[in-house]
Amino acid sequence: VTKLDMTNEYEAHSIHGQGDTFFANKVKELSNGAVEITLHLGGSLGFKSKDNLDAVGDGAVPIADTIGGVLAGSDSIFLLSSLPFLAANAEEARTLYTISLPAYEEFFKKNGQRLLYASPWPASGLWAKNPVDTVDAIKGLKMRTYDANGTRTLIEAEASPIQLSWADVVPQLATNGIQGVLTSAEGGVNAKFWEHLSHFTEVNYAMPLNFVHINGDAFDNMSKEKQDAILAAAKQADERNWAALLERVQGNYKTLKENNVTIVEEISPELQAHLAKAATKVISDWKETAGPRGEMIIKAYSDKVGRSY
Amino acid sequence: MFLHIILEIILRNSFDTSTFVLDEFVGYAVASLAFLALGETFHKRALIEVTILKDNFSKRNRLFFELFSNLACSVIGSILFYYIGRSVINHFYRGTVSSSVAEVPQFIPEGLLLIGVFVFLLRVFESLWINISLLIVKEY
Amino acid sequence: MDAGSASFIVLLILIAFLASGTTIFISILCVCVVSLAIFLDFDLHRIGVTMSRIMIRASSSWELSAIPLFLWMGEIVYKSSLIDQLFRGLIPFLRHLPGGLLHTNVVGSAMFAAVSGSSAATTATIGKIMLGELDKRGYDKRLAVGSLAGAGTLGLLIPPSIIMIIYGLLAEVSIIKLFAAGIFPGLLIALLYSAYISVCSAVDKNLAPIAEADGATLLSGIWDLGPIFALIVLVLGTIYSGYATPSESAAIGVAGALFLITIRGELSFSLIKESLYGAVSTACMICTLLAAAGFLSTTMGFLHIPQDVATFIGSLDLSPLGLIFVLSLFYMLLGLLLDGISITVMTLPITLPLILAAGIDPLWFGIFLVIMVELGQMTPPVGFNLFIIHGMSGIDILTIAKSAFPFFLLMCLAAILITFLPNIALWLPSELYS
Ligand code: NA
Ligand code: NA
Repeated sequence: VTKLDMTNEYEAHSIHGQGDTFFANKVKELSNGAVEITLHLGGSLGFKSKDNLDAVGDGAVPIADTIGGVLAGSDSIFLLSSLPFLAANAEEARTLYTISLPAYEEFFKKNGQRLLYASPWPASGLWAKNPVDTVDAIKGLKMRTYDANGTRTLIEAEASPIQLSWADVVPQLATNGIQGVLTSAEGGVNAKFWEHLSHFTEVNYAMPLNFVHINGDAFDNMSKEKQDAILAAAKQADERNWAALLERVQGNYKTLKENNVTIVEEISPELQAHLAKAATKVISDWKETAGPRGEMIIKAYSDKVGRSY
Repeated sequence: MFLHIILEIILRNSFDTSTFVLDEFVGYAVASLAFLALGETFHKRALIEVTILKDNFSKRNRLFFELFSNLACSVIGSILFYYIGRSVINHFYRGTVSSSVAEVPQFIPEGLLLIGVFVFLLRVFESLWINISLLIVKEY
Repeated sequence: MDAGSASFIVLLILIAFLASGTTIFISILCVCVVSLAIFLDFDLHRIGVTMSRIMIRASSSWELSAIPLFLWMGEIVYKSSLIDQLFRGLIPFLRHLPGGLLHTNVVGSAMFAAVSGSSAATTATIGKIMLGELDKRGYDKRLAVGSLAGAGTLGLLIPPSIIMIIYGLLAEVSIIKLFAAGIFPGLLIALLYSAYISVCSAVDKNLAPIAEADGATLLSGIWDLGPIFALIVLVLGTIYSGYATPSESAAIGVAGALFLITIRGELSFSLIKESLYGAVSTACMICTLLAAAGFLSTTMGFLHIPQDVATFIGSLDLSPLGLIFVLSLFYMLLGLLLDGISITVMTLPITLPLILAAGIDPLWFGIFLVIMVELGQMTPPVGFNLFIIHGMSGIDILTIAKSAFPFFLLMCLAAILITFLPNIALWLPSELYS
């Protein structure tokens, strides 16, 4: 029996906690118990997402689930999935993922690893005490962001982005230190935002990806049967996670409504234009840093969805 | 370093904006503080240890406890030095930067930790040397 | 190998390393290296990369900044005349109580606890001033030392508190609610201690002579207490008004202390240098210990001990009250050997799911855990407060431990009261943040 440890930063009930649990169970099932994955949820092994690339590469832990944004320091390709307003819905996000998959696979291969699957976050929106549906509403709004793209976009949109550790977000909300949070409905449900905030403005900002990667040697040293079982389980987990997205968002919205959070679905055309302008700047800056490869991916994606970026 | 932490925090509190990378920089500062002070703190014997057992032994036998302790420190210190050093070199050659807007080259903060471990090792070897000498010249 | 025998062997190795007098954080790292090598067959490469990565991560934490900063603030208060003035202010209020200045240990610790996040800083600061002073004035040494060992731990329970910040992060409980929940239990313990001192002193008049007022009046007392009150109001006010996060409140405290000594004309290069030096070496000791404890929990995770022990205690199918009882024994045993922060970091992955499954409020459990951890501060062989008092007074550790024993029991009584009357802890946060 091959025993493998797997680390992720998320709680058991979160979308990625459930996805990885599904994967671990599937591996056991498909390998007839020959491969056992022990999932360490909630960062309980002590590794944060930003440690995972080195931790898996060095063999400290064989499998990890890592949010893309933290890998941006190694390769700017990982800012692609969180570029603002590039993918309008799950289908487009998946199109973007399919087009960029070879680039992701190559990156992990270069780092002595193998990409197993990637799963999306539900779309990020704007959490606040009011609807953020006009330009005036977003100007000067003190908001917490989760990555460099978010910070840059909100600066361009004349909001006041703040990067806080997740642990400080709720205390800051409780004391009005920040007025809003850029995250998904999912994130708001997990942290019980309704205790402090009343509105979730759906702007379909982005659907960032999480990557599940395995140490190359650990994988290569297994028998063909075990490898096949892992790859088949990864394929099923991939399918499941994209399919679960819609259901997940519906579940989140139901929870929000039960807790009297207003979901704002319409924003003013002026704000739409304002955000689009901010996004254009961030996207074109990204194309510059990402070079010809980034240019090609954006080009292929533009052709596919029939919009130009 | 402390002034830097204070400055970062006061900046964030006085203006209605953020340095965007406060948590990242304060993290570097705290880790550097802990590691860079390690050698000196070890030297001044301000790192806590349990002395109950060894207090019951003669001065000569207590030196053997000291030697064991120094060896444990050398082993752990050396492992940390080698593997943090390896990580620093990798970060340097791969050009890894932090994923925030600050894009800090990762070999810099980890390099500071490496220096801290190096100073700690020097202090440990110094203590080892002294204890061995004391044992040899029988001056306890 | 099952979890029980594995953890027993890990414990034995730890005791062996600790008893050898090896620096505690190195001892912990050695235990991890040995355990990973013998139980899991990890090679040196895997151990090395894991240890270095975890040590870097655990020490690069933004939340840890509160530790050196609170220590620095305490050092500034202690090394300036602020601390003398504080105690001059306390004398006129306490001299007519049976026990007199002995209460300054309790009241002083409780007050310092409101500006300091750690028990070590509280005990060291109050002890340095008080122990010599009390001895000089002819107070009973055992009561003085014991009450300090007990009351010094209030630094953890009365906000701000480093250990509550760590618990809040691990358990995803609001840090601000934890702070609010600690106030009344802290005052309850202080009250129990003062009552005990009063009763002892009333029964045996030799324990505590009547304090000299030295011309101090209630009015001058209020004046003298002013600066420290201003500092407390500043730190707590900035947290509760949302001006600073709890993680940042320590920096506000340092700024406030620096401001106070500046307007009093005491700001000097040597004061800054000495206070920084003291703060840095204690912070280094605590942070490296925390990083080592981080690697220990990683090791426990790889050994799957948390899962197995959780399953075991879970399989006992205890009632919530039974679970609390088993856990308090478990924590007191751990407290014999380990400091509070390591205990919290190491055990919470095991105990929190149990607590949640039993339907126990994690906010209440945070307060309970802090009290358990405080008990561990005054038990030998490893009790931080015993070490600190030993360092300052030269009295041997076992004598200090014996003197602290009545105060240990009183704190157990407080834990029982809070178990049966949970609203002592939960009332204030529910009033403030419902
Ligand atoms: Na405190
Ligand atoms: Na103890």
